[in-house]
Parts: sequence; structure tokens; C-alpha cells
Amino acid sequence: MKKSFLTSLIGVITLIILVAVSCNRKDVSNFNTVDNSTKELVLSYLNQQKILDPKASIFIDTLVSKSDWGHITQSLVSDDVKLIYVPLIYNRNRTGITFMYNNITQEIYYSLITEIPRNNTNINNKTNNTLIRPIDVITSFYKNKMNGYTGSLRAFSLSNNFLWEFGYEYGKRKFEKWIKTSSSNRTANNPFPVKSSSVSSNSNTSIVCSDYYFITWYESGKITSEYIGTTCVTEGCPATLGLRQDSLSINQGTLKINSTCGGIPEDGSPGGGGAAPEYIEITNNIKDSCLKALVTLLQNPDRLDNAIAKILLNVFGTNDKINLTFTEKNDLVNKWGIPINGYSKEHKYGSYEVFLNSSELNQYSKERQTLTIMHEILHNYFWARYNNINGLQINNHHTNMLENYIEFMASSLEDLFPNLKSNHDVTLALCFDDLYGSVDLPEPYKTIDRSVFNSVINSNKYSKFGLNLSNWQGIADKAKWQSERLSPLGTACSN
Amino acid sequence: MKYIFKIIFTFCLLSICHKSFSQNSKNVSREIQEIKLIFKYLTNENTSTSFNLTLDDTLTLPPYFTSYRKYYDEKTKFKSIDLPDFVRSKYFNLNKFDCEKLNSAMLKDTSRLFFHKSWFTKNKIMILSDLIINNDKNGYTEYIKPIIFRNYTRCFITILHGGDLESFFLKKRNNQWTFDKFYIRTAE
Repeated sequence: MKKSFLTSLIGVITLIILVAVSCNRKDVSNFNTVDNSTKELVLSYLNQQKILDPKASIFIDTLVSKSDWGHITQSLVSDDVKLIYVPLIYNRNRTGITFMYNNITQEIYYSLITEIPRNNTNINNKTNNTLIRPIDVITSFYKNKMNGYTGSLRAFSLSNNFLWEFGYEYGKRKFEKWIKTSSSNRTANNPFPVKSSSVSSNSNTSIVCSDYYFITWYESGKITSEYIGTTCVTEGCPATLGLRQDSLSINQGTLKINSTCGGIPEDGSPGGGGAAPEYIEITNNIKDSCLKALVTLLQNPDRLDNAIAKILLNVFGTNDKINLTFTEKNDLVNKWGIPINGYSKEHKYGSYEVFLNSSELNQYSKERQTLTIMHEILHNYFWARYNNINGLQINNHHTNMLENYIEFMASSLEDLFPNLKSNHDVTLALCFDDLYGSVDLPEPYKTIDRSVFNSVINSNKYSKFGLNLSNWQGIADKAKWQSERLSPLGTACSN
Repeated sequence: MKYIFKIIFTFCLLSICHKSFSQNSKNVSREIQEIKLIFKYLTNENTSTSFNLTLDDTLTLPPYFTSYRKYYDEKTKFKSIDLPDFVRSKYFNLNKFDCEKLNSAMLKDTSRLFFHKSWFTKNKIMILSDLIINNDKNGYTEYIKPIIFRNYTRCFITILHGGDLESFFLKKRNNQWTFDKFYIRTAE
């Protein structure tokens, strides 16, 4: 009796263990038996990459020598795509090379270095990660099913450039992080001036690359920008920045963090061609879903080639911490009680706030609402840019926008709303409509002189391209209003 | 004896009054002197672009500085021009006494101070008449009377144009007024 009880108990325990092991595997298919052919396939691909990118060759050699070939894992992302993960013997195997293999062509077609930072995997103690192995995390990432995962996933290219990082909490995407490099030409004081027989010079011009991390925080709608460092180059700025030594102990690669630019003061003092912000934080506190989405659209890092988004995210300030908050205020009126679409305020240098009146703005199309946001961003940009006595341009902001920023606004708007690209006259007319609010007011309130406004509209810079804007109000109406009937070229908020 | 006492008493009273009035007048005249220096600084060659001079370098001014009281409301204080109460600030270099002086001057000073062409030496000055500024069809930039504080070493100025506001601090160094920091700036 006792013996049969023991036998049953052992049987039940074995069954529980088997069930537990099979449950932990989840839906990730594994091919743990990796033969030499996989290793050869991977090595062959890496050799090809060395030929394609000779600069990455030394780094790839280091990766190969540090690969843990005994622990290669594989997993299916889809019927056609398989992931092959080769761990590196750094960071307790949390860093490795991930290859994407096409089952149909039987070729590796993409690769990247992936890192699962250990310090971020436990955002709080209550985490219950079911994704334990790196291959599980990476596969789930590509399947877009993070299964309650808490932690982050970083990626670097084979030439040792940071690509991106995505953070998760209980399987929900919490943040995404990218790198942006901006360049500017600066004339720097050269500590070792080159003297010719007739001229001595102590200055020369170089390209200064400023690198930032741009992090989008999904819950709060914030985008934070962390200044990483500057580099002096002669040919042009690289797209991204190399792996940090503190995250991966590989000494090869292109580490350029906080390197100095010969002769350029590290404080990046204003006036040197537009110094970079060390840290900018943009908070989107707008409640109206349509308006909030439009602000987010401008905040989005992939809009960095958009001129106004660039101002917002990239050249907004000088060297100090910059905060810009978007706030909804639906009873927004000016000091005479007239309702207004938007309003900007500098609390002090580095602290800016844009107020948007959704009650007024919701009669307009997305395009026209976006112009109001751009308009307010420009006010704050002017303040951040001209933070000295000559920044006392109180009644010049709107005239400055009219004379110098109309094209920026128009191209940025078309970038965000490509439907306007084939109707450039409509885009320009919308921009004039945005600024006309500063003209069409009783004299004491207006900040653009009507004659200046008319001269810009009728200037030959538009007519020489065949654009006739004399009836600009009628043209603007084609995309100004929320109603599709009134404005067939505009985008309603419901779309 | 009684008459002698009355005479001495009256004399003392008169002299106290005189001293007090002359001190007040001395302060007012000192304030005007400082405002003249401030406007010389604000309209000098390096800063003249700030004041939107016309093409022929003419500086157009209203007849007088307005007062903050014009924008004061019991319920909302200076909300109509979006100026909050001054509070102690390391950034703006404002101590408790500075804040008291600034808040009280904004509330109490209702006097108008008239611009005089003689204050300006280099610029062509056009001072608008009352008739022009009282006509709603005419626009002009309003200058609110500067508040000079901390023993004539600091000054706070607000300028209004349409719905836009610029306020800033000046500081005195080596007997010269220079720009210090912007305070609140707003724009529509």
C-alpha cells in the first residue's frame, strides 16, 4: 500500500513538473539543437557585412570572438521568419546578436545587437516576467505580444551604433527611445592658430554634431530630450551614436560621448550659431483628443525633418534646461475679452507654456488647428532664441512670422498633411489666415501692419511660381473648416 | 511765554513739513533722473532695435507712462495683463523687501509720469498727444511706469503692445543701467 502510494506520488510530481516546463515555453517555438550549419551561416553573413562596411570590420571581429556559440537559440516569429540569437559573453548573456532568417530564401537578411538591460527588468518588485530568456523577449517584441513583460529592449547596429530602446511595463509599451544628431557650423577659436606670412587667424569653422536621446513616454504624452554630447567632424554627422562603454564592455566602436570640440566652449553659449539644448521636456496636457493628437504629431521624433518640429524638439533653446507645456484653456480671452485660439507665456527663461482654446479651435480642420500650434511654438522659440535686450521685439513676433517663417510653416504643414502638397496655394493661404488674426483687429490690438501683410501676399516670391494669392481667404476656406462640405481639402477631426 | 511756545511750535512744524516735502521731491527728481538714464540705455545704438524705431530712427512714445492700477481688479488683481504677485526668487534675485516694494508700487502708484523730449539726446522722438492715444483707431505701445527699487540699483519695466506683454528687470552697474533678466512675457 505504502509502496503504491509512493509510486503514485512520484508519478504526480513528475506530471506537475512536465506540465510546468511545457507551460513556461509558451508559444515560442524553440530549436535548441543548433548544428554547425547555423554557426557557419551566421559567420558567413558576418563576413559579408565586414565587406559591405569595412569600418565595422574590427567591431564584428570582436563580436565573433566574444560570441557564446554553445548557447545559440532560435525561434519562429512567423511561418517565414526565424530569429537566431547568438549570446555574447558580456553582461551575463543579456547581450547578443540577433539575426533574422528567411525560411523561404534560406538567407539571413537582417541583424542587430540586442541588449536586455538587467537593471531595468525590475521596474518595481511586483513584476512577474514570464519572458525569461533573451530570445523569448526578442521574439515577443517582433510578434508585438509582450506577454506581461516588464523591462526594456535595446538595439545597436553591427557597426556599434545605438538604434533604439523600447520599454515595457506588464506588457504595455511604456517608452521608446531614439537618437537624433543635429549639426551646425560653428566658427571656433583655435587654440593652435595657423599663421601664414601675411595673415594670422585664430578661428576656423567646423561641423559640430550634437547628439540627443529622444524618449517618448506613452502614458504622460511627454517627450524628453537628453543631451548626450557634441563631436567635431569635418565631413558630416553620423546618424547615430555608438554603444556606451558602461552598457557593454567592448572597447572597439565609435564612442564619441561628450568629446570636446576644439576651442568651442562646452557651455555652448548663445550666439555661436544656435547652441543645443542640454535637456528639453515637452509636456502635452491637452485634454481634447483631436488637439492632443495634433500636438503629439509635432512631438513625434520621426518628424524631426519637419521644420517646426525641429524648432520644437531640436533648436528650441540654448544650453539650459527647457520646459514647454501645452495646456488646454477653453475660456481663453485677451485682455479686452475677445476669445482667442492660442496664447503663449514665458514664465521665466527656460519655462514656457502654450495655452490652446479647443472651444475656438474645434471649428477648424486639423490643418488649421496645427497652424495655431505652430504659431504658438514660434512665439516661445523667439523668446528662447532672443533672451537678451534685443529680444524686446514685442510687436515684431507676428511680423517676423509673416516675413520669415511662412515658408517654414507651410512646408511643415505639408509634411504633416501630405494631402496639401499638391495645393501649395491652399497651404500658404492657411498660413496667412493664421496670421490675419493679428491684422484684422482694431488698431490698438493689431500687431501686423496691414500694408506689410498685403505686400507679403502680393510679393513676387509667390507670383513667380504661378501662385495667385490675392483671394487668399477664399483659397484658405478650401481647407480651413472642420466641415468637409465647406473645406473639402481639409481633414476633419473625426478622420 | 505762551506766544513764544506757539511760535516755536509752528516753526518746528513748518520745518518738518518742508523737510518732508523736499525729501519727497528729491526722491521724485532722483526717480526721474534714473528713468532718464534708463531710457537712454534702452534707446542707445546697441538696443535701439528693441524699440521698433521707424525707418528714419524715430522713436514714437505715448505722452506718459501708464500705471499698473489701470489693469487692476479686486478679484483678479493683475490677471488681465497676466502678471502674478512678486514672490521671493533666487532666479530673479528678489528678496522679501524687493517683493514688498514691487507689489506695493504696482498697487498704489497711480501717478502718470510724462515723457519729455529733453530726456532723449540721440533719437528723434515723437511724443503722441492725448487726442491720438484716446482715439481707439490709433495703436501705440504702452509703457507702464518703471518701478525702481533696492536703493536705485534695480528696476522693473512692463511694456504692452496689443495683447502682448514684455516685462523685465534692469540692474545698475558702475552707475550704468543694463539689462538683467526678462520676467513674464506673453503673446497671442
